[in-house]
Amino acid sequence: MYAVLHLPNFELQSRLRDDPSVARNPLALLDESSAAGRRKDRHRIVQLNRAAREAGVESGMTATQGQARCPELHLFTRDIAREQSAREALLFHAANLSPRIEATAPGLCTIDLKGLDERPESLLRLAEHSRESLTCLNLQARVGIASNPDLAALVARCARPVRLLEDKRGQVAAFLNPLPLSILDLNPATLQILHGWGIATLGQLTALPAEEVIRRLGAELIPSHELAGGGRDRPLQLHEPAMDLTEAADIEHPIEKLEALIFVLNRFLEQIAARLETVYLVAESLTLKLKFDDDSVFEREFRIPDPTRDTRILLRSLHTFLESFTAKAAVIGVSLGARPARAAERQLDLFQTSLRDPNQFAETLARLDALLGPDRVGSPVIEPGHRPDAVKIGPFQPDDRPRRGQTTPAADTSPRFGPALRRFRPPLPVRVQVRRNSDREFLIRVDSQELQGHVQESQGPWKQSGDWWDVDTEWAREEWDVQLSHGPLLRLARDNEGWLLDGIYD
Amino acid sequence: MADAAKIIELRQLLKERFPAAHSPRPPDAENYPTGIPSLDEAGIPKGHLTELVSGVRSGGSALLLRGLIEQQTAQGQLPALIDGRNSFDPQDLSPAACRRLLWIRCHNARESLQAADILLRDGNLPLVVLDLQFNPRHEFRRIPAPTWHRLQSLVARTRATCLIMTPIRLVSSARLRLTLNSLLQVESLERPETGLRNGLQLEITRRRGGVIEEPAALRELAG
Repeated sequence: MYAVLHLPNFELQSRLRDDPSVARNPLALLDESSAAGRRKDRHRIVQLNRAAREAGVESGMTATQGQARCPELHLFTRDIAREQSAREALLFHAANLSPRIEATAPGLCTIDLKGLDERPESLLRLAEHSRESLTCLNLQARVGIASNPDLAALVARCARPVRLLEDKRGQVAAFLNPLPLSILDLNPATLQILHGWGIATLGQLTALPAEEVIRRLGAELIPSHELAGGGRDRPLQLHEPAMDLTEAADIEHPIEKLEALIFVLNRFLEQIAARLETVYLVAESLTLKLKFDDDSVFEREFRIPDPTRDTRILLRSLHTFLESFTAKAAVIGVSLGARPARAAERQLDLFQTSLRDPNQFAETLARLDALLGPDRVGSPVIEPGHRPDAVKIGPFQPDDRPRRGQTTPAADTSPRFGPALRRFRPPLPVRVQVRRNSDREFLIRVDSQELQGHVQESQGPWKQSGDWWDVDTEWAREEWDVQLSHGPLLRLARDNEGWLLDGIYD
Repeated sequence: MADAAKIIELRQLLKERFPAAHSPRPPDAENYPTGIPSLDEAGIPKGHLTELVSGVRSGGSALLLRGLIEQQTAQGQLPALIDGRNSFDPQDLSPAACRRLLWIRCHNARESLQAADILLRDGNLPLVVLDLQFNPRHEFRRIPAPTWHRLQSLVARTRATCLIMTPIRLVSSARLRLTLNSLLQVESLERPETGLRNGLQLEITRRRGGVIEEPAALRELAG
């Protein structure tokens, strides 16, 4: 058996997901392509809701005609980003019912129910539950269940809101025969011909000899004719849904204020949290992308130390960062993605000290990031190679378990010698007075903005080099350890550009 | 007799009106185990500011800091280092220590104090080291006087331990002030780190409740 989840008026529904309260008003979706190059008021209405239909608005009317019929009519244009989000939400939900799903069409998803309890009452319960879960995501679905994918799609389109068509004698024909030809998505010319012949229903179409009809109207009628006769059991083109949960939208009125952006992000988080809840997962990180009207793009990942789907905690992470964020242009596109994880995945080592409030700490890190800027807060990461001061900042993730794809380097247990170095970043230029005696050099005096003095004792040089295989990154230097007469113990370096003060041993 | 009764009655009334003034004195601060023998012997108090003054360059403060980070991370703790001039060199830290250290790279004292304010308010990390040892002295003149009292009230509230490393006496509200009286020589470059660290001379120059020395820091700043 197959189930089909059908979102009627998919493009219009996608548009309204963020603000379902307007759904009670008369609404219509315009097809911009129907009036390419013409004024917007000439665009044609392609989808409308029940309230608009009851007010006398019809599909195919122009925007002006629609508003003439119903002055309260709200008009929308398509939002591809929102449609993509709705599509992903539908597929993500379907993937949790069965591993075999097909993204049949925008707003239409087919599920292979093989392996599930196929008793009718069980299937109907599944369909109802599915419909209710999608309602929580602000998607109004109809669910049809039948013995083959194409028939299930027809059943879904006719369901009010859930229908099961059993493959029992006469039941399929009783369902199909009275259906109008318009349900088959025939091309208008073919439909006109059939109507001209007096053929108005699927039953009348299947009563005609198939070969004769196809010979007269063309091979493109074959699938429709097969569907009118009950469809065929075809294999699904399986879809692998991505594990990322993303909500996105193009903003009609560019956002310049934080409050408006937070409003949009809060809506997105509610959608994401609802999807996570249906599959018993939590968010372990959020990825925020902002598109600006000067064509620039900003992207950032926020890690959630204690994965959760609590929207207040998730919003706090974003809000703290955005309070200090500035942009040169208004926001015209927003995308928010969550990486799902199982709630109990993070287990603490017995001897590992845990944070008292990991989410509060994440907010603190966000505030420090906002204060100091990127790459200044985190854990030190030593880069491979022997280049001096080859360190950078990595994310602060004190969990000792090795991550996927990483190997934990073996701890270096060899004893360390000497004091620590306090570095100047970048190293300071310095003048060094050197005396040469046969093949040896003696450092006499050091002068720099930071400190100066006579050299009491020095050791060196120690020669270092690296990346000899790459002309652009190869380096070579000599290092000296120098004690000045008034105390400081320094590390100097000399390369082909001159002397540098690396730091002071302390 | 009547007078005595009135006095007793007055005391009772004052006690009821102002209970905080009559509460018993809090016990001595519990000490934070650093894992460094010299620091543990001095007793770094929890919930208070401790100042470590090293008046000379190459006095050994970075050596002590590195040892502290290694010991804390080996004990499973998560220390934070607010690096006042982005001078910390993690090159010789163990991989585990690198993973467990929160390194905040600041460029000046003002940024460092702002970062300290944020981190100490959080209260999640038990030890915060504010390293101003390498910062130029003219930056300290711009630190408002109440700053240290504010940081003290934050650590008191969260019971965190805060160690502030400075080149001059600066932290007026430090409960404990230690002074490093060492100077590293060239030969120390070849000595084992642990022995070097154990040989550092650390002196307690202030403990709250003990002798309060003159505010020499103010003279140095004015100079």
